[in-house]
Amino acid sequence: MGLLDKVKSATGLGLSPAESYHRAYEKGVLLGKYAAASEMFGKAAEKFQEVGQSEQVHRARANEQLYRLVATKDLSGIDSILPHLKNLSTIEELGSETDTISAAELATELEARGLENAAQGSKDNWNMAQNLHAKAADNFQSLLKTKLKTYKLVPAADHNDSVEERYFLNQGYSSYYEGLLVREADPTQAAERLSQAVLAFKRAKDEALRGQMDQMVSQLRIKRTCWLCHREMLGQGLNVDYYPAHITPWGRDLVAKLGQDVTTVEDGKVAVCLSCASMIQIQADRFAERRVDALRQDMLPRINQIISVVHALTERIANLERIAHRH
Amino acid sequence: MDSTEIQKILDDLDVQLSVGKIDLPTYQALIQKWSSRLAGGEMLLASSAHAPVPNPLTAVKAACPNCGAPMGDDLTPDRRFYTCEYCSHKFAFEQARDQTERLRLELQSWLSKMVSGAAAGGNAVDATSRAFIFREKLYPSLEMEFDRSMELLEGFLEYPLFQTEIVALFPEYSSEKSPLRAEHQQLAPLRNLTGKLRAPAVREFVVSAEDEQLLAAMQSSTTELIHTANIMQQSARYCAEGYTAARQNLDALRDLYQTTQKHTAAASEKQFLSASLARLEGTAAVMDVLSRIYSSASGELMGSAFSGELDTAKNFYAQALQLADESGHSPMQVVPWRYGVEKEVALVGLQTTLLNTYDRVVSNKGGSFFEFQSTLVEFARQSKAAINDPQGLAAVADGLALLVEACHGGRALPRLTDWSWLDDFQEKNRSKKVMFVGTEEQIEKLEQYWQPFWLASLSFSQSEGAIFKSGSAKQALLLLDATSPRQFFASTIEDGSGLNASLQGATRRQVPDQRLTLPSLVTEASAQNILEGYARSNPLLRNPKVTLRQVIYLPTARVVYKSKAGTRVLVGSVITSVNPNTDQLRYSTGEFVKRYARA
Repeated sequence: MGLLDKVKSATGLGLSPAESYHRAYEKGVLLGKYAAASEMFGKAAEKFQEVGQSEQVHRARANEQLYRLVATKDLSGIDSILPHLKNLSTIEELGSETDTISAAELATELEARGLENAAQGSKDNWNMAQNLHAKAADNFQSLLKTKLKTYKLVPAADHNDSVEERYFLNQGYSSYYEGLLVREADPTQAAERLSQAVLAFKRAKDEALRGQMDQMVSQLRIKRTCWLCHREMLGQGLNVDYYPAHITPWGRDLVAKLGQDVTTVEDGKVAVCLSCASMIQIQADRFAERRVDALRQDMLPRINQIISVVHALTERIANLERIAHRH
Repeated sequence: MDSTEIQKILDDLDVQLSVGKIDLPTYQALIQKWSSRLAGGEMLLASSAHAPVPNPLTAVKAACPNCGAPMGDDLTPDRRFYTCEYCSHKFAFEQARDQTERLRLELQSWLSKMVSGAAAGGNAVDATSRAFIFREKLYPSLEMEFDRSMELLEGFLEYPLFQTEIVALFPEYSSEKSPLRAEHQQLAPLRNLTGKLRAPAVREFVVSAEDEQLLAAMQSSTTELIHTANIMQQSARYCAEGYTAARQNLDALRDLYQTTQKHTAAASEKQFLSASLARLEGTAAVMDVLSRIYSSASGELMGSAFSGELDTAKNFYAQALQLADESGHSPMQVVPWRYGVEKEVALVGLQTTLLNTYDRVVSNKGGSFFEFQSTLVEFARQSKAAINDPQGLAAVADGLALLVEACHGGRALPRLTDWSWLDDFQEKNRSKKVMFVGTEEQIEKLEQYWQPFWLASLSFSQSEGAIFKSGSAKQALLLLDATSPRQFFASTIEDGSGLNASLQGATRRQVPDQRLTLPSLVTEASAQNILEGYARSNPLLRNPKVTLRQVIYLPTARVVYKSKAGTRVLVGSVITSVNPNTDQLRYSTGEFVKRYARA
């Protein structure tokens, strides 16, 4: 390469569209300068546009946006990559000028990432989160025989090793939100959905999430007889829970002697269903509010009296201070 | 007419009453008649032992006092001792009688609490009232008892049904932590419940087919637990008798599943039961293999003779998993069940590898399979290899078999046969006295061996040029010491270097010499992960891409230098990043090779 070529390459001036495109690799990607690479691909795209090479325009634009994503890690930019990828059959692998991958597969992965990202932002809207994770899982399912293409340079919080892990992770979250959605109406069905989440998270090699789901399933499957209404309630922490109570050994034995549910008593606590517990709680709150109101009514004249005494005293002190100051 | 036939008639009467073919007075009259004929037999154990005559309706069917499985033989005072065919428990007649009597009294007390007067069994109650009592009193109480017992045993499905001796190395794959074994005492309430479910007094209140089904489902679950617990326990005895008893329980479980399948209406449950039956076929095939292995007095086997049966087992497991996945049955059952089956598949895979490697290892010097197993366990223990699962152990067993074969000259290994660096290495690192100053060291001992390394290709990009900097694509080789699964030793071998060229040539396989060859302890997947992490952590390697190739063996030496100041040890190889702490591994590999390869 002559000096002129080196200068052209260094400045980018006087390069053909193809040379500009190559420059983006030489001066950007291969040096790990992804933001610069993105800009150079942008310039190459403009040059391809001028000469009317539409496929190369899409290729350069796709790389411009892809390397912007790599540089910024901002997944909201995915939408601007997809239209260009749709016009290509292959594209260079991220980080390489020579190895190529299927553009359609890359688009599917990016779509899935967009859906995952949207799902992460919709944690409080279970319905939407479920829907988005299910769609992301579908996308990853169609890629199961391929390798992840963007997660090495734009890693997620975890599970960056295989398509399979991402597929199962999304499937797990989808089942988890399904479980949350039906939990109050049908604890059994919720436990079933959460069991599916257990399997999916295990397949995703996420022991922490699997443990959490396992715990939720176990809780949902627990039945306890309510100490007050004697109804058999399903789902500890949901429909039934333990509340502090005094119970003597005799009282505990009595439960056993009567052939009643001995598990309803546990270390100074008794199992009470949500309806009974909340009814008592709400009523207790109302009684407490009434009592507070009544006390306020009783105390108000006395408080007002004390306030006027305080005012009078404050005034006297102020007067005394003024007199003392004059002398 | 023997007691079994009379018992059958009594059971038929229960059924006829439950479906409304006969009325209660007729039923009671007939029960009394046939029960009196059965006196002295199993139904009236207490009476045969001169105990007070119990109400036949509150009689409890005799069961093994240990596991609660129904007795195959009738209990009679003429026979002093019995052995349960399901759990191999030996017990005296009195023990069974006392247990049965205790259960009977419990049943009587429970019934008197639930239904005042019903325990007497003489009250004529119409069918509508009986159905009402069942649904409002008896069934809720039974269901609660069932639910609370199951709660403690929940999770048993996640464990494999059988256990092999070597699996003790992997607690996650062992049935030892299954609630059916770990919480064995929790089976007692279930055994009591089984007694209640079978009692004619309870059956008297079952009027509709629907109620009958509810009770049958509960009974089926308790029976399943009893036999499953027995299979787990018996297979953990690691003897032919244990595996035979486990097989007996498998057969009982198969009968139970088939009966349940006939009566169930839900297509999803039917298919899940088909999956469970296919799994039992797989487990039965494994039990047969294990039983045959442990029947061998010498332990000298032809490992390959079992591969057909183990392949059959794998096929059954694959079929079972597919059926379960497609069943649409409750994931609460299918998911943990799947874990259990997958663990069994892993155990079968390990067993297959062990039998195959055993054949390869003993081909020269012979030896028993049991000794091979314990030598392998000893190797794992001594070498401190990080073996986390059956697949890991299978890989190590395969690696050791490879070394033994290589020692025989029957297997060539990819090696870099260049020891030319050694003299220079020894001399360069030896301390010398210069002008009467310093310490003069002598080489006390030199040990040469072949150390395994994972070889990988690395493509990356790098900055070039001083003024006009540009990036260019590069190639290199990566080496990862395969003897160190916990702490990694990796090196980059640049393209164009002499070592790079030598390593490219080292992929040719060569028959090893008499020097010890160490086995690889790092799996392919973890080698890939480690090398990717290593490449990414180097800021000079941009856009790295690692492609794992194979394990190669590099010449390595341990030199012991001695001087007046003492001794010191240095380990060297053709590369600098090499695991120097292989003392344990060399010792355990040496022991293994000495046992199986060298004369």
